Amino acid sequence: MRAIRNLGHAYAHARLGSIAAFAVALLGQLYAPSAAKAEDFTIGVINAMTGIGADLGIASQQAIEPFVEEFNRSAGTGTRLNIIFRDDESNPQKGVAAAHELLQRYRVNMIMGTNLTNVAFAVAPIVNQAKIPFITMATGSALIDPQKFPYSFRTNIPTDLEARTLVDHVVRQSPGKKYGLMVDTTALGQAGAQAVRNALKAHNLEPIAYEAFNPADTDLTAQGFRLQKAGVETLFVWSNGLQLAHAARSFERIGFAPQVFGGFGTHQEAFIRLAGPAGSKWAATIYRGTTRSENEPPPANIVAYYAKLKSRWGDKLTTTVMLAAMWNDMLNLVVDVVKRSKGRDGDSIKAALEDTKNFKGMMSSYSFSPARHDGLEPSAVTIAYVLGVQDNIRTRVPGMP
Amino acid sequence: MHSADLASASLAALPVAARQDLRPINKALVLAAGALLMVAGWSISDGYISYLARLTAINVIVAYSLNLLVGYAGQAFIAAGATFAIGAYVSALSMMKLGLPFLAAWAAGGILAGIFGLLSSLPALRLAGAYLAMVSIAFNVVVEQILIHWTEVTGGPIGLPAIPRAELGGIELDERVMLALIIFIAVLTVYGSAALRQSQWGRALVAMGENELAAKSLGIDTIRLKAVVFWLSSVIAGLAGGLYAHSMQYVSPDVGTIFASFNFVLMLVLGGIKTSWGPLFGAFFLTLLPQLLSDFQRYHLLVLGIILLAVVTTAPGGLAQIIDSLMARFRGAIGRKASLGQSAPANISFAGLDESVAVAGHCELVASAIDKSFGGVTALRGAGIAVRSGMIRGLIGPNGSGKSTLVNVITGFDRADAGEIRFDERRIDGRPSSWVARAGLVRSFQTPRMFSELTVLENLLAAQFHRSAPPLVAALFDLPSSRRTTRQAIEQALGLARAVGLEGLVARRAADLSQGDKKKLEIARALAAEPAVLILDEPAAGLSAEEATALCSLLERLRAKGLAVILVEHHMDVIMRVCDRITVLDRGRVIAEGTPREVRDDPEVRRAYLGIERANIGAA
Repeated sequence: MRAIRNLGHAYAHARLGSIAAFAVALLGQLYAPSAAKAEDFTIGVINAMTGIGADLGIASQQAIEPFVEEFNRSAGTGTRLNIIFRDDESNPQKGVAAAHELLQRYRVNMIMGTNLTNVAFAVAPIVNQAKIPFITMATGSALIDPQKFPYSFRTNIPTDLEARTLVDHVVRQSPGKKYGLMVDTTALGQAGAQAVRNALKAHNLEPIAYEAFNPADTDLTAQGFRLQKAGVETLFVWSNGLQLAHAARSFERIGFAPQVFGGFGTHQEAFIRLAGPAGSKWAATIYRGTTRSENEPPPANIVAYYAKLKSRWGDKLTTTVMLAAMWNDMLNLVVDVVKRSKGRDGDSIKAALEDTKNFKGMMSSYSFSPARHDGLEPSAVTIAYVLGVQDNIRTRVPGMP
Repeated sequence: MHSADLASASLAALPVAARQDLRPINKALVLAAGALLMVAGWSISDGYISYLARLTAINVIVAYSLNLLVGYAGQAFIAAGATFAIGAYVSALSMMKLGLPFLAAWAAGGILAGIFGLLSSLPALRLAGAYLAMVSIAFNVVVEQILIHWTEVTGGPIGLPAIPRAELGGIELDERVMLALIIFIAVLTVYGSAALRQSQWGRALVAMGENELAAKSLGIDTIRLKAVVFWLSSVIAGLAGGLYAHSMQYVSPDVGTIFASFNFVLMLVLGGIKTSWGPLFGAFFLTLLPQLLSDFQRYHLLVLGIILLAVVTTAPGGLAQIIDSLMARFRGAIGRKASLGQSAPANISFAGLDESVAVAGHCELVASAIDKSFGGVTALRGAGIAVRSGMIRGLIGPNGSGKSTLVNVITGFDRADAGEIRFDERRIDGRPSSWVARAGLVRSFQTPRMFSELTVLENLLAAQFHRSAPPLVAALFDLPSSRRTTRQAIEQALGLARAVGLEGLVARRAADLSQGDKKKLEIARALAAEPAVLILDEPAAGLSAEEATALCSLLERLRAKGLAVILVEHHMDVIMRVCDRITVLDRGRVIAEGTPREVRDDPEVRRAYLGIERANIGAA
């Protein structure tokens, strides 16, 4: 019996040994030093490259890469940008893992991205605890709060501003309509629903019908049917382009054709490709810089910028010009901030960001202060039809400046 | 041969999986390894490594909890993500909204997860396999939807940010202490699961997972066992969820999605399901590999998928199998191979039978006027049978005459439409099969129902579970009472193995036995359950002539020891030689009853069963 026991122990030891070796090998890999040089400015970009938010993440990368290539080409011996992309798989837990990796393994100078609001909510506390500036592109209004998240900033359009713009326009243009609300069950949709309700409340209004759908649903006829039965004439929606394209097609099938207004997630390429004529009455918030009125020529700078992207990516280009321009503005702002900053540490960068006044970008001019971390000018937001795009320029709805 | 020598002699010839079962856990080694790991964890100051270590250790805990339920117990309930999320949310909310201290909040998470586990064991009473998996997915979706839509409490899709850190006595635990705590719980889980597997509980769980019907026939209360394993697995996963919430300080519904559940299952499958180290490998691999692949960006899931496919297709036993075979090559497998080639000894000896078969006092079983039909087919019409201590009752009849149905009805596997069954004057009809077995009526099956993945020895041990289960706590911590029950059970099991001539094969997997040896094992296993009435369904099928003779003497000895035996058999030599009385069934009716001689001479029996032509009877 003893012999067996010894053999068993030897075996257990050997096995434990192999586990330990395995673990050490893995950990060794994780400790491997990063490639960044000390004089680089390293930005960790966390975006969904897979999962429900993948469209936006991939599109973002198409805007970031050319910017960085061009910047580094012209940088000479000066500061170069070093970008490390991480996929959060549209999952907050993975976003957290990515944030830890970027902050503690790569010691990045800044974190940008997290196109999904729930991922941003998961990542924000970690980045703020590490005292590293975080420029998010997620739109959830509560994400920007200098008290709670002193290192979080945003140049993108916050949901509240979108909802206010939409509701004010609708109430002004066609008062007395019956309003409905339809959102997905993600953080984006829920935040949108809350913002629209608040904006309606400011006019003493509320939606007569409310529908929620799972982002994986492709058939939304049931929701459409109930909204139609309730007599909805104007519908506010909050979700991503792909999901909303399914909604548009489902509505068309049952002959439900309300005037639809959504957030700028509606403007994604997926909607344009998939919604078909069903989407012709759909309008959504967007940067004014990428729109024109019906009898205006398209803005030349945007057309040129889009052409440049097109020549870089060809058929693979999926980014909309507004998303690309937004990233372009964000990155230009970062370059400006790095130039003005006293150092590379989080607090210096934060101070320089807060010191930004009227920084001119393609989409807006941006101003920050210690109390203001949403840098966009409200006048930079307008409403445009989602379809009928020419040169990637959208047409503003009548009545919007 | 002394039993301990026998054990070592045969164990040396064993595949590792079988030997492992009897090896006592070296507590000092566990303690030392645990302490070392905790110190190592505590000394990590790098935030990223600490984060990964915490995540890995938490995943280890969940993977082991799942190994109990899905691995050992074979219950395809794959909603570990949901249980994990319940533990995480309840623990977080108890601290945030109710102001409970950490330990109470953490326990509350475990308790609620346990209640969820008990509830989810209910469908498992009726469903198994793919159907149970479907139900578990539905359970998972319900939990996920509640987390998403009960916004006021759960924070909706955004989840719960800023969850307070764990504290003990008002002192907040920093990342390093937290990591040490998580490692402690993980080591405890790995140890507890190994101890449980080696206890009588572990064998009963695997037996139930391998063949629930056979487990019931041996008196294993599968309803209770399922409740226990669902509860235990869920509590562990729930506690892991609590550790996650207070160390990551953020939870969202994404921790409880069906995809999170699949990820846990994948850890198990990839690492090696039912193995003692597999879940550890799986958890390490699937937690750390995605991090290593993070540079591949959007292709990393593809790469991960390809690696998974490669592992699972080349080694269905997972990483544990790969490592096992590498280790085997390392040690040189020459000696092992030679000894594996040994075959069973030719003769059955009954040495040791007297010590190993215990028989209760006098008993009597009477089944009378039993009706049973399946849809339009009448299987039994007023059939009956009686047997008492020290008697062998033959039950014969042509194929389809209702013999097996009668056995099923008596042992509680089928419910009679009419009639009554009394065991020592007590009505037992309508009782569940495992209850009937515990009352003393133990059966074998026409086609052997082995616990295929268990060794011969473990098959015999599992059959003793209903008499020799230590308290669950003792099993989980490998306390002396658990060891004692195992030791006693082994003594008896080895005696029985010797009695049926399987002593040379005690360490072989039941699946690898020949048909004849499976038959012998079934008899021994039924005896291990200590029956008062032994019901054997065609035990001689597949035995050689000598073995059949040996079987007869075994049955005679059992009779001499006071056992009551019902023998269903086609082998007429066996029947005529050993039976005291014989009942003959034909088309669900008893057509004759009497001594072997009376039955043999009964004209109706000759016509119906023995195949004698009507003309011949007339001529006689």
